Amino acid sequence: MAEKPERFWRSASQALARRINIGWWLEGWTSWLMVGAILGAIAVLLVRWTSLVSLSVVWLSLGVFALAGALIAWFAVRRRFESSATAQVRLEDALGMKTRLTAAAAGIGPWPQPIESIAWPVKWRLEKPLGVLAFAVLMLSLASWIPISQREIAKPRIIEKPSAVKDVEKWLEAVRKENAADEKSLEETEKKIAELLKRPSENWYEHGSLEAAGNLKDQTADQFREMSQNLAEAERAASALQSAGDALPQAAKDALSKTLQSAAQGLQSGGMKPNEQLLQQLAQMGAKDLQNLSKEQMKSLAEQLKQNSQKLAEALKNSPELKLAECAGCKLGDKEGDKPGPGGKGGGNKSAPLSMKQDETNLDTKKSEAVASQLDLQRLAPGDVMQVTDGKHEVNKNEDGMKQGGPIQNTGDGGAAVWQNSLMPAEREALKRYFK
Amino acid sequence: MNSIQPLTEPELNAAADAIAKLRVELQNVLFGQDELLDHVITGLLARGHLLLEGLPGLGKTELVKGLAKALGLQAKRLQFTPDLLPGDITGNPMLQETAEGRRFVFQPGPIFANLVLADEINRVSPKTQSALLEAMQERRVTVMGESHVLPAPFFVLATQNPIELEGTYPLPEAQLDRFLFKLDVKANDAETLEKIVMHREIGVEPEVKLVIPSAAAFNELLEASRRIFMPQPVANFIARLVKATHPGEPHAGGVKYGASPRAALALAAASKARALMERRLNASYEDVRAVATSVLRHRILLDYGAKLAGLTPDLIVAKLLENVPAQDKPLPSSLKAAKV
Repeated sequence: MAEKPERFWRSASQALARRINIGWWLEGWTSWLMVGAILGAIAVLLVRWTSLVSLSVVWLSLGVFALAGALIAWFAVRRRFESSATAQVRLEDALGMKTRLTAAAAGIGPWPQPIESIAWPVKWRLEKPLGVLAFAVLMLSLASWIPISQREIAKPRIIEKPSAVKDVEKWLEAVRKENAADEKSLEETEKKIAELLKRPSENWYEHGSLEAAGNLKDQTADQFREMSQNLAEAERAASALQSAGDALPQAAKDALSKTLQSAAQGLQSGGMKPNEQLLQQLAQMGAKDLQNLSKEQMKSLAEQLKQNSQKLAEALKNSPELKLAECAGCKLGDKEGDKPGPGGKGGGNKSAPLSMKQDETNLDTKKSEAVASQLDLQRLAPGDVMQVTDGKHEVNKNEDGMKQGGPIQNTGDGGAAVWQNSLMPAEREALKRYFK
Repeated sequence: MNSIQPLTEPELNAAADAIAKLRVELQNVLFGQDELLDHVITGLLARGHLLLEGLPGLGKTELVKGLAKALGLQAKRLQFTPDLLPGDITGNPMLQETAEGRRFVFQPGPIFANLVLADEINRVSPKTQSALLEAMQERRVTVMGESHVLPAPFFVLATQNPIELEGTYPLPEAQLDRFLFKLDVKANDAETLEKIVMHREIGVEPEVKLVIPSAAAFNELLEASRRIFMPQPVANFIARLVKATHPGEPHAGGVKYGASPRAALALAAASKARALMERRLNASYEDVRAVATSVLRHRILLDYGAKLAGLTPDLIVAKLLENVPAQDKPLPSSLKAAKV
């Protein structure tokens, strides 16, 4: 019982010290919290922008940061903590105890009697900690709420291959699909394409690259044309030899054989060789034996040549710019749909109409319309189509050339080049004013 | 460091009883000046000399006489005038016929008493003032190379008149520092004057009982005051308070010179004495605050600007007491000091 007052006052001092120390810790932690909120908001925005890591990782890190801050703040502000002896001084001064607690603690005089309730000499002022907390919540909420689009760089940048390369690839694909050419020849060309595309895609549209791609296209087109030409010639010669047979005079026969021989050689040695079957047949027969082929053999050869030629024409039918030579048996009308039908009910054999419209020939070519580009205008690369417009060319309607004398037919527009095209708008205005 | 044996409870009670009796006795001598009496008793218990400033006729001399009678001490009064010489106070060697022949024998002056009332100290020349102040500090006088110890206890209660400054020699700051307290003797109110009229007559001295039987008993009281416990936080408060009087400190604007370390010692001694008067074994912040103005007001010198602005040392001390906390450790921003 004798120790009761001492215990009471000592625990009161400790409680006061605890309260003050919590205040110090709160001060340290709120500073940490403010820094954490700012960094956290930046991190949330960055992650939302770049999508480098999941957002939940950021929230988890922020939680860990706040907890670590609580611990670090505790250790950082420890030097400011008040001991219970210091708090006791504060307490006895505030309660007007005339230093009796300190004296009693030093063994001078008795401890004062406990009091019913202690009026603490310090009061909480939570505006600042709550303000910082609100600031942190606001910053993080804003960071997670503000609309932000993902970084464009995250999306892979697609650069279209040069059109020449695309054309060649299209041809090769079609020819391969129809088995109209030797696979090795196609692979050779593909190797050249791969060689071209090995350069960084940013350089595909440099002058040199475009020139090389153009050359490749021209070269490939030449090879297809050459093969087509050889096929057509060989087929014509073989068909003539096979159909006319012995009826032909020897000179004509020789000429046809020569043509066939030359075409066969061209097919075997050309940059683009026919399909393997034909190539094998040509190789087996040998160039010298062509003249002495039997009718059946010649017929088979002609058939092979025709088939290959047809396949080639079929494969490259959508590329009229190649201007492939046509074989004798592959002329218009040979294929179904190429010639007019017999008419009448069930006549058929016609080209399908372009559309079901009444005025199907009206293709609205006079209407100019823009093609909406899906590309980012800021990241356009050469070759990207921005828009397509349909318009009229400006045609100079003035009569050119020599004119007869007499009255002037028109006022002349000789100075228009200077007047309309060379002068700056201000100069044009000045000139107009002068002549007025 | 000298260790002082703390006072025990019975010793404290005995001393406090004696002081209480002395207080009551002095209240019968000087009416309506309880605060002044408390300060005078506190000053004496702290072994300090007192400077009383006030108009004539307020009972300063009566107070000293009453003190001398109540304490059973020898009291002498010195009326200071400009022609007073040091020897008139300390005493002079006189040529006397002795058994060994003619010799100079020291004749002690009026300063050789327990209680000396130095009336109108500012009217005497600086030379004589310094002789008195040496005696106050050293508690001895030296005449012709021979030192003579003054009786113990030895107190000087000096008075000075705040008006009629013509022909006066204001005490220099260094000498003012020797006084423990500078006390203002305030004019009496009508009620007190009525009491004076009813109980006093001109030329008749009031009867004062002997409270402290001897100088030795009074010395025991002084020793008891010394043995009052001075807690370290209170000592820290005194140190910070004295430091705060110095120019450049936040609340010492207008101060030219601050209080000296002697002021800190005076504060400590006076606080202990007041604790004894209040029957307490330890000094407290309240004691320091109670005596701070009397201890510091004559030790703080203001510059001309502050004087022109109407500042007084009392105002400066009040400001310091308001702003210097008992506990100097700061509070976190999330807490504020609450008045209880």
